[in-house]
Amino acid sequence: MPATLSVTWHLTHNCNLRCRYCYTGAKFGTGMSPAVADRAAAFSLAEAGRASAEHLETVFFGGEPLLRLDLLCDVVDRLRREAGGRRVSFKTSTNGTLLSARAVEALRRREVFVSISLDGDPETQDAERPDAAGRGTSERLREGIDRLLDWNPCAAVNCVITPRTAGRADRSVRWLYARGFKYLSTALDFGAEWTPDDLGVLRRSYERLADWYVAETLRGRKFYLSAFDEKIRTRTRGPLDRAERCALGWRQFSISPSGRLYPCVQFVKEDDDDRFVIGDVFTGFREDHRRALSECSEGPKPECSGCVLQDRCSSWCACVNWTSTGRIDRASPVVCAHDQMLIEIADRAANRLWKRRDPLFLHKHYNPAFPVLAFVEDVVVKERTGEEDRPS
Amino acid sequence: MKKIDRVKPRKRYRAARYPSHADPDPTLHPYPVPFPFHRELVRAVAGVGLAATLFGCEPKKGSGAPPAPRAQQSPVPPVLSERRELARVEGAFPNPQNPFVSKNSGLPHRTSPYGTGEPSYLSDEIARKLIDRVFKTEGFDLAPQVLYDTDGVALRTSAYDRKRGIGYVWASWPTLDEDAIVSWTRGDTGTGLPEEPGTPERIRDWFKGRDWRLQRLPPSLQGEAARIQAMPDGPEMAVAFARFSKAYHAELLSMEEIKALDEAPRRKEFIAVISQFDGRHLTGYTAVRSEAVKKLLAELEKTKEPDQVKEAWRRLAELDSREVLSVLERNVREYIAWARSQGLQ
Repeated sequence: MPATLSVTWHLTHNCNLRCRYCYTGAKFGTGMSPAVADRAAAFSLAEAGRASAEHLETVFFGGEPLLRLDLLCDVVDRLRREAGGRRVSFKTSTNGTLLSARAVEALRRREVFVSISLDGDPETQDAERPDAAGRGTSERLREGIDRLLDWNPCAAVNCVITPRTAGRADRSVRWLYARGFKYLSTALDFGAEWTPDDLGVLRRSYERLADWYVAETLRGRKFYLSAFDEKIRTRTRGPLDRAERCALGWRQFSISPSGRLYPCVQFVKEDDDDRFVIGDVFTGFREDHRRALSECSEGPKPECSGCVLQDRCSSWCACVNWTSTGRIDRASPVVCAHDQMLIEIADRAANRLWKRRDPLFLHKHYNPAFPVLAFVEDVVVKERTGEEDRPS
Repeated sequence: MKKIDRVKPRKRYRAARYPSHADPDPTLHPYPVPFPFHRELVRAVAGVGLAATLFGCEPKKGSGAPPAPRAQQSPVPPVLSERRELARVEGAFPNPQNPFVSKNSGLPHRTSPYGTGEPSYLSDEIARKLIDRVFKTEGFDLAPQVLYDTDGVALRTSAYDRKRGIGYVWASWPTLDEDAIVSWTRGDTGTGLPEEPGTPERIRDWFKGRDWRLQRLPPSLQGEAARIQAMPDGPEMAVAFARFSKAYHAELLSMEEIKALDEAPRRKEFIAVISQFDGRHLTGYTAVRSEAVKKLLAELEKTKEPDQVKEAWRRLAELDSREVLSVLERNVREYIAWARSQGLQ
């Protein structure tokens, strides 16, 4: 029985941007209707009860979920009202262009955790994430980013790296960090055609980024960079065990705008691929199909046999495998090559910090109290000085 | 254009050099690494002369949970993950001392007529599991519940290695005698063991007030207790009770015996009395280990974000328990290092 059940609501297929690598499919106006939302809310709560989950996590996605801000707010209000004793939490991921003062206030009041998708400096952002008319978006994001960080200095930013932007991935991350983000998540566009040359360019970017990571840590700066911190974590705390993974369709599932159920966000697309539909909110799960997909993805991967890094790579992630190879039961060669490279670079960075016995590195990765002590420290420091610990 | 079209398992990988999850915690071993607090916090603490404490404070320190009724306190989680193996740490204590001398034990413990829910005590089960694991890792073969009876000290150890002459008693409510737990309900004075009853009526009263203790005795003694209570009034009852009482006290650890065990190392025998009431093993609002964190929490309470304060208290209470287990582990290791320095076999 999961401790947390995570349900992603795809409020709409539509979006006001046309990011070059977007995996959510074509953008069209159909959004989730109030009737479907109503049924989906009841379904989520019932499913959390059936699964005896202590915590129901609701994630709003799209398209661009803030195009349906009012529906989002209604769903949050309703789930809070009807949660009973169960813990509920809410998240959303947005492109940031619709973070008006009104939107921020509505989300803040409802304690919805907001992460924002940005690809880095204005040049990169404008090239990779234009609007529907093909115009750059970096300029109009300024105020939204400021509002978000003023509200929540711990807001996360998600940055996608493509073969086109691999050469400046380090610059992008540093720009985002300088902008004020301390929780930086990077992900590859696994749907792209990566070549060995592209990964070579990315390697050099990662190596420059590693130098920066070490330098900032030695300066005592608290931040989280998923690229390195996740790989270091697979050594300092051990690999993710099965209870921590998504388990494709069991500990998490997605609800499309029409109410159909999918095992993960990446499978929803235009909501027309029956291979991955595992039910709907009106009739429930197709348990046989749900189980079959999960077992298929969790099965051993003979192509990885004998690999000493198997416990530290992302080959367990079915949706990434599918995006990259078209199969959920086969490890992605791109993930394999990328992760081997990244593990090595992350380990070398960690070795440097270990050699110096850097206290921040040690406590960040070995002290389970670190998140709490860092959080409390930030609150007190801000209260005393009115400032956050932002880089100069 | 070349493609990446094949998974290539890595057969060899030059291992990273930083500690893995299977290694001793580098924030504690071979020496504690202080938490790198923000300079603004340092200034705040220095303002009241505590800067040295801040930089000298051990990692993972925390204290101060809001008072909670004892019955509602959640069990202490193990500080060590199931996947981690304890490893023997050489050279961790260049000048080891005995951390479990009787004056540190917090005994005698005096019960109070009211409860505030604070402090919290380590649970017997979790503490003993941890202690057993440390001894095992250090190469000792402890047998549980060994009776130790030497030179006027008779007690049931929690675990003891007869061959090497080392073990411990986890001193808590069930294992401590009545001069070590001074009960206000019985009107104990804490100046020695209460006088043994002589009359049948007082013998029966004696048993009534001790139900919870009797349940923890070996089955043979429980049977004897039941037999005595069922006896008719008469001199036989007093005789049987006297015999029972001797065996009963032999199972328990008295203050006199605790102090006598301080001297056992002279005979190259080492029994650590590890007390549940030792101030270092308490969690909760009054169990302060770090003045710096206490100051931090006092500052936190002045903030205007009540939800954040509440959440921080909750997490700190949970983590405080883990920190106590870290302290316990360290102390047990130091005890063993000290015993070795004193000639342990």
